[in-house]
Amino acid sequence: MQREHEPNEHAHHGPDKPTYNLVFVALTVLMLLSVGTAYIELPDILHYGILLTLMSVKVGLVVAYYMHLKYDNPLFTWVFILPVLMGLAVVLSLQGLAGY
Amino acid sequence: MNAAHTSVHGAEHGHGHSISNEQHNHMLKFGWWLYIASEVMIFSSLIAVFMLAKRLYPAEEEHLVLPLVAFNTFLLLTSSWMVVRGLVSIQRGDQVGLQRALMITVILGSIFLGIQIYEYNEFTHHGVTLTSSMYGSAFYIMTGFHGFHVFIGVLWALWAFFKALNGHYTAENNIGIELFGLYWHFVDVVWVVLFTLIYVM
Repeated sequence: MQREHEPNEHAHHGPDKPTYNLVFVALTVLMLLSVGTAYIELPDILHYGILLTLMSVKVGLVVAYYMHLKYDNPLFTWVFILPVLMGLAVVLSLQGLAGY
Repeated sequence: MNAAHTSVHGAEHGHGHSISNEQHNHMLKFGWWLYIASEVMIFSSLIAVFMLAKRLYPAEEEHLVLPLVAFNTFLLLTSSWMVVRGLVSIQRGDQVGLQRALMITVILGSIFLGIQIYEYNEFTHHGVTLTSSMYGSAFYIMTGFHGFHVFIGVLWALWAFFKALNGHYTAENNIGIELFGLYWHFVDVVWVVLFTLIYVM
């Protein structure tokens, strides 16, 4: 994404207020869409698929823009993604074990 | 890390290296991300148990109040937005903008906790308690652990607000706000996940 340089921007590297505003609007709309799915009759697999996709996009927006992973050292991204993958493995493993 | 920013002071005195502000901030953020990594694992374990309880005790979910918690989620999203706007404000030297953002964050975080306590009361009245079932235990421990993080975040924001009132943060020195932001946004990220798994799915 091409950033617009503004006065004093040398003091930081990251998005500016218009980008943050846009992310906030996107997060709110995605949250409302998530809530909306609770009131619509959908097959479980489709319902879960939509919700998990919306959730992943919301998490991605917050960590990429609000937490600056898109702009910071890529090392930070790996420090975050690796435990997320391990955590996901823990969650899925326990669900699998519970199925006996 | 960019070695080009390293400055060497006192080499003639045998004191070795000193580091630039940028490197210092980079190391602080790296340490903070390691802390967040550990939190990811803790919350993953809690979520794993909760998802199991959700399958075993589906009837307990009937008492959850989605609209109220959706509103609470909106409050937390708004507070995160305030924090990033506050960060940009101080990066531009706008002290008042930072102070306003931090105070709004304190207020929104406190309302979030108030609504969570109200929700706990309602849930308890319906017979879902910490010891009533595996679902109750997993629900209260997981959301309570998150709520504790919100509480710590509110205290931190309040502390940062008073420091901001004293002019502690400047356009050049605002790493404290950035680290607080990382913490607060992570708490927001966790809630986005919990909200989906507990209340909507």
